[in-house]
Amino acid sequence: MTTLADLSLAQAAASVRERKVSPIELVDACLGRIEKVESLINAFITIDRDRTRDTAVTLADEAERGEFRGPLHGVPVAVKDIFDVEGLPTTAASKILADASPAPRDSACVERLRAAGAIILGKLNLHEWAFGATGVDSHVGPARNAWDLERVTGGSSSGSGTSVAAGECFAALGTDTGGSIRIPASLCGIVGLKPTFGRISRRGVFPLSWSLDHVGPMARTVEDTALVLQAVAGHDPADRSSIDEPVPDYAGTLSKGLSGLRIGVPDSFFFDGLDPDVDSGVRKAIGVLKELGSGVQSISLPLIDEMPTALTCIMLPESLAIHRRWMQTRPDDYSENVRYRLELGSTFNAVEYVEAQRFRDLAVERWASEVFDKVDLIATASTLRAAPLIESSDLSATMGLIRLTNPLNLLGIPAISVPCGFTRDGLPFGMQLAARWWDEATVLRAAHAYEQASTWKDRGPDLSGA
Amino acid sequence: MSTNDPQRDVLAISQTAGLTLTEERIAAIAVGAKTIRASLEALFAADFGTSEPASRFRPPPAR
Repeated sequence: MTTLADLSLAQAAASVRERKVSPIELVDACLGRIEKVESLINAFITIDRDRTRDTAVTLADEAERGEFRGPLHGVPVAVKDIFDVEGLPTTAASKILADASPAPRDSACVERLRAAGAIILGKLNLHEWAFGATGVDSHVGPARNAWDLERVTGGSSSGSGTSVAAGECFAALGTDTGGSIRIPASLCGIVGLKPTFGRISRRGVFPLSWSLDHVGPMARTVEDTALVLQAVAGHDPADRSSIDEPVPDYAGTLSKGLSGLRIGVPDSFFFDGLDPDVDSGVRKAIGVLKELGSGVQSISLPLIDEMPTALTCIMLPESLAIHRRWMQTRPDDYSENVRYRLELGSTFNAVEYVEAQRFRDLAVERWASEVFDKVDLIATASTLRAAPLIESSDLSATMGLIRLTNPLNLLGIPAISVPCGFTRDGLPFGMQLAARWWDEATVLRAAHAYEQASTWKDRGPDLSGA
Repeated sequence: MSTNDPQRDVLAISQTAGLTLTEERIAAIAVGAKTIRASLEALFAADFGTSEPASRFRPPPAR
């Protein structure tokens, strides 16, 4: 049954602003949905029921008086459990931090969400330490895909993906080091955006790899994604990775159309090994972008074959450096898969790490001069396939999930996953659109145009009979 | 890693990171490391020109 929880974030926010719906009703709708489906999908680690209701009462009073904190006034959202939320523990879905003390203050993103009027419902499940693409390894058990409970959500922002898909919250924040926003977005049939490296503050977010971690929004529509990005983007002097670049009006440019936009379709790598249903769906979606007025051309991507290795060569040693003390004293408290990856991080030497960083510099330079002088966007699939079964999610499944996303973390360019079809088994998958550094607006504009021309956003998972 | 014995290499380099690994784990990691070694060779075959490792990654500025 459709309820307030099924509204888009933009609709919910507009309803509050027009005083047709109160923040209390929105919170009750989300908590009601959580009551119904949470035992099935295991999306949350912590639900902050009491404070959520108290905040909703305060925001409802303000709305009654015509006072609105910002564009998200009264809208319930949630964050991956590596974002600090004052008063709640940050567990990273790990055994080691399972009994962590409550965080003394909000992460920068949570501060900004609250300033925009959002209500923080709670903290979402993830692949342990954000170090995996399936979402299966979690100290509290795997989050389950709302479209098929036997299948993975994708990770690492697993709870974020399935919670948004199931209507437990209107949007969520995730993090993306090799695809951890775009992969669950693709597998759960929602929108997920990894912005430019440095666009969103990471203060108060537990790291996986300093050089590659990105924070970003996940939501059911592109417009919702733009609204959340608007709320959290911008320079933060307290985060040394944050960069002071102007933040444009994302929602204001969504409907500018695609006339004159140059879209590049990679001539190698990104279409190798695609599931036939995904291949067909993405090519049709690219055809729609062409019908909408963009020019589509084949494009060669320099150094693409080596980029996943360079990312691995940076990510694994950085991750081990972050976890080194716990790996020395509590290795048995990691899940086997995460522990293995961390131990593998010890096999890279310093020269290799430095050379991988040099390679990154070279790759950025060549993409700037050889790719983004020819096209405005790259269009690919987000994942090679739709969601695998939880029981068969081994290393090869992981590799199939991260292959198409992780090169873009190395480059630090903005990239979105927008739903673009379903397999014959009824599983969603996404199209990935990426642009040059800082051009999230073009990514969002193209994704929005495609979304409006398609019907995928009108479909949602049916958990009523589960 | 510098020898032709992958397991010995894993043991040596993991010790520098302060990890204590069982023989069983060393053997498993050596398998993964061997795959990575092969792809590293391809990576380092590229001509890096005058590129430098950034002390902190910075994307290029907006146009």
